[in-house]
Amino acid sequence: MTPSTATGNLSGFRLGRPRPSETVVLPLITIAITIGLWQLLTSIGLGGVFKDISNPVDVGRAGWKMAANGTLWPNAKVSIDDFAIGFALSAVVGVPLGLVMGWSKIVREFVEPPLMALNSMPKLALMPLAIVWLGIGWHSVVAIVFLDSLIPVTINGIAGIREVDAKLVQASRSFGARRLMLFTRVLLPSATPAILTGLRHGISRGVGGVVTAQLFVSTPGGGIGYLLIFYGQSYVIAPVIFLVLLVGVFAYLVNVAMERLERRFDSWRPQR
Amino acid sequence: MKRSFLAARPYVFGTISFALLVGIWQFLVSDGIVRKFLISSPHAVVVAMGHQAGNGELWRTLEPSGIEFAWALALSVAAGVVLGLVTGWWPRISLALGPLVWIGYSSPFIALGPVFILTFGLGKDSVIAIAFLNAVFVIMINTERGVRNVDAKLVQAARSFGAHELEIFWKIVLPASLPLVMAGVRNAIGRVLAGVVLGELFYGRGGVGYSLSYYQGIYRNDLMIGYILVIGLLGVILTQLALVLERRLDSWRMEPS
Repeated sequence: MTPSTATGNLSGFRLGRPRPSETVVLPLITIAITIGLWQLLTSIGLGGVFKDISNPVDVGRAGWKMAANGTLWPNAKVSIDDFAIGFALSAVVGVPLGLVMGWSKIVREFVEPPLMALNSMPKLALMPLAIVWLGIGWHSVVAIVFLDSLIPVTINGIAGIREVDAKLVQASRSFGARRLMLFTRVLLPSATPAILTGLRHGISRGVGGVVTAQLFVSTPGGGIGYLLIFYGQSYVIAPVIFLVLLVGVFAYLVNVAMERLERRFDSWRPQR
Repeated sequence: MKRSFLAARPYVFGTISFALLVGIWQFLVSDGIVRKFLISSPHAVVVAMGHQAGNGELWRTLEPSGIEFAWALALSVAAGVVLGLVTGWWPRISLALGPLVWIGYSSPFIALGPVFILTFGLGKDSVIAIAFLNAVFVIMINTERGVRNVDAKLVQAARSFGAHELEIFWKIVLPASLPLVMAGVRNAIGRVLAGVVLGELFYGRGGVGYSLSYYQGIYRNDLMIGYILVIGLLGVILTQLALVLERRLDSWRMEPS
């Protein structure tokens, strides 16, 4: 059941819903046109921005070269590892923290203000501080990924508990459910979809965060971010564009996969 | 009495919470548990930043960042809203642009810095370009969602009363999608700030991000932490302003039944 049935979908009746075939063909056409146009504009020497952007063939070639000579994969693995550790930490800390903050008003009133302050500032600005404390290396990167994904995980945990239908809680109380039982049988299952949403947002923040944090880590083998700085500093543009696109596509695919997973638990979502 | 205490409690607890953090920080240093060189101290940071404010350095740092922030926000709102209205109104265009938008949404544009430097040179214009790209897709996606979520019954009713497409767009679709547009703008404010700070940090010639990396470079941790706190404060103020604006623009609205 999509929520759009209640309000109706504007596009549904206005110009006709796009046919299923179009949902595949149109994006492919755009990608083809974009690459074609990009190749054309860079090769006819238009000047301006296009003077300095490598063409798609060069970008593809640079990517192939990095993959073939073994620079891409080891660095990608470092990035994935740093991301995984940071994200796992944020899940381990953020989910329980969110649940407790959703449960207890006093805890929420204490912890929420500093958390919101952290939320409104760019976490990457803390990277210089992390480097001073933890050194240039994966510790600092993991710390930034952790902080970056901690916020959405926690906030959604809070929302998950607070959106639980009060009637459900009252009913289980009147049937004699104790606090622990109430938590494991009612609150936790109801909050699961929101927690998953938080984890998904945490993942997309973390993927971007890990690469940007690694830009500060200028030691060889420091991950995708290190490669970006390495090529960027010598103004070798083709691999830079390849890597940025690679990260963008990767982050998008992870997001899509997480959305699929989330939908599985949609029936658990509290109805309003 | 009791009620007023309950109303004030979140503020009281919040203040206590921040005070505790600062207290622990000061304690760690003055008790010698952590070396002062590493984490400075609240006292040292306040003194150092007071000095910066006194000799005008703070202002000279904030000014370029403010200008870059304003430009990047204005450009990304203008471009994002227009593009989002187009893709929201015409589903086929939305489908076609889909891959570009989503890749743009998740790409780390800060790493494209060298491309911008070659094009725009080191400094202001490159920073604006990075911050713009960081934010424009969020506004676009939210605007599109806003147009799509407009109550179909409103549009049908208007059409039965003989409204033109253009009238429907101006009088119904645009106002009704405003809340989501504003949610996008609020989200974008954080991303523009991040883009400005990071852009300055790597490719800037002034501004808060530049000062941050400069004072890190010369091991002035008091000033480095001071500027991190300035950035945090800017984030809080800007987000709160956006929230106020969002509520004001939304106040005329009736909840859908």
